[in-house]
Amino acid sequence: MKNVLSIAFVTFFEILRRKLQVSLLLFGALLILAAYFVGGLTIGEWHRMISDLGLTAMQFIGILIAVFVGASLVSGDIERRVLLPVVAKPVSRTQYLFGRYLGLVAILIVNLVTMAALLGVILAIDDRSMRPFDAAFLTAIALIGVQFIVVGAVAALFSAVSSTTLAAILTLAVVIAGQLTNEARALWRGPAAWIPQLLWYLLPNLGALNANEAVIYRTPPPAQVWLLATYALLYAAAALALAALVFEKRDLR
Amino acid sequence: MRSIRSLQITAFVTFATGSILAASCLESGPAKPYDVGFVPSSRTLRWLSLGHPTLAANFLWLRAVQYIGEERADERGWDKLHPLVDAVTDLDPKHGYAYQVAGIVLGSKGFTEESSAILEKGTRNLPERYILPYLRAFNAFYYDDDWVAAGRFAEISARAPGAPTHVRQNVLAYYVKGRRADAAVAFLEQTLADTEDPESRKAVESQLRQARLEQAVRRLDEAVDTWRGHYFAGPLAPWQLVTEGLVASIPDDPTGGEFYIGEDGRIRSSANPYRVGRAERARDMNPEAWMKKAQRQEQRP
Repeated sequence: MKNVLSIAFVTFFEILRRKLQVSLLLFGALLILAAYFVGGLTIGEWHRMISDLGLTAMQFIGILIAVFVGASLVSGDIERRVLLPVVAKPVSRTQYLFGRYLGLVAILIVNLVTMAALLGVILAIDDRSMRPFDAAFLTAIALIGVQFIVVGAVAALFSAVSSTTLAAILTLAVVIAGQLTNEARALWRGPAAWIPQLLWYLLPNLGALNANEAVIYRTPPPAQVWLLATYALLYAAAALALAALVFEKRDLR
Repeated sequence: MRSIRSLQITAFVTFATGSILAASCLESGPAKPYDVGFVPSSRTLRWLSLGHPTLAANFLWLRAVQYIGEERADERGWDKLHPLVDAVTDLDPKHGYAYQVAGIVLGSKGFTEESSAILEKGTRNLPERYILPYLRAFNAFYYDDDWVAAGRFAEISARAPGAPTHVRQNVLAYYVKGRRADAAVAFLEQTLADTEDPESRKAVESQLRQARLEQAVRRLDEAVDTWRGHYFAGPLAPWQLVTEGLVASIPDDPTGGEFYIGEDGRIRSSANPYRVGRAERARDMNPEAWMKKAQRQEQRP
């Protein structure tokens, strides 16, 4: 466990220094600020526009960071040949992988909290009260965090088995498909309906981890929130376990 | 080295100045009114939104807002507003303000069918938003002259949580004008049964008394109309309707008074002379009395 935490700690600060992480986070902050001004373009119900655009900006930026930083998590180390000295030490490949993943998740959560605080302040200013910090808002933020955890695990899986570029492309494809599996399952009827059904089980159901509507309409959070979170965390754990299984056998030369 | 640097600076200044000059020549304002060329189908947008249909709805709604707010909108026409708002509300069925704004704007621009369609869709998707069936009721009486439909939608509106009490009064008025006082009575009886606080009960009881009065005098009003058709003037008292055989008997006044024929030619109660009805009816029923009343009002300082 100590090895895992040490690697996670090093990974956290390594990612924190990356230009990609910093510039995307700044871009995310700008998008959230822009949401405030775009909200002014509509008539009535400004809150819905600010919260929807702000939450989506947070998801978009967080997922981009998870994809591009996560894709280079292991494969980048292999390509730069910095992995060999690490695994030569008394650290298993699985510990190394988990450590790298934990570091990525930690940075994603820090980003999320930063962006959520900014959006919360904007919503509070717009509402002139602390009412926007309600259960729906906090649940939506938590579910976005769960999405990051899942996307990070998928990126780590592809990073453990392929090159950085391929891992980024594959993770992006899974993220896009994962946002659509709910729609596909609901709309795709007929003789080949087993295809969306199969995809629904294979791909992460990221569309279900979206609680924007509850924030927009100030309604209670989705009833199945705990089940959703449990499902997503189990999916991430399965992806990591598969990554560890494949990575143990991978030829690092 | 120095010459390369000065060349770079010269190139930058030249190209930057050129781009600014070119930009200044571009037309800053739109040459024609803001329009929406193509409204994508909501199904396509749902797929393209990647699990964020409310975001797609919000962006489409921004376009609808620009479309509505265009100063030269009448010159351009309004035919894209209904498809736009229909797509917005397909993607986000809870977007109550979209139904409301589109319903009002489309109605006022002569697109009453589209306005009613979007308001009915809103009523189905957002049954708790009383304003949508209320606006639909307005369309029915104001544009379509369909009082029964107006009463039906006003009733839906009055049943929505948080609906103002005056909506019940509208239900009564629409149903009475649509000659469906029985429907108004049934609605108000149900409302009274569901009302617990004494102040509200008092208000509903008053409206129910009025509805029962309208229900009771409906046949008498019809008999007066028939009389006027025969004699080109109204009867002097309700009993004449019985002797003429137009009604079997004069019903009891539910408000406890006696029925008489008012100056405007309508049956009224001595206990409660107020009747729900159009002002024009007075002119139709008794033109001389109406003219005298109008002259008296004009002579007042």
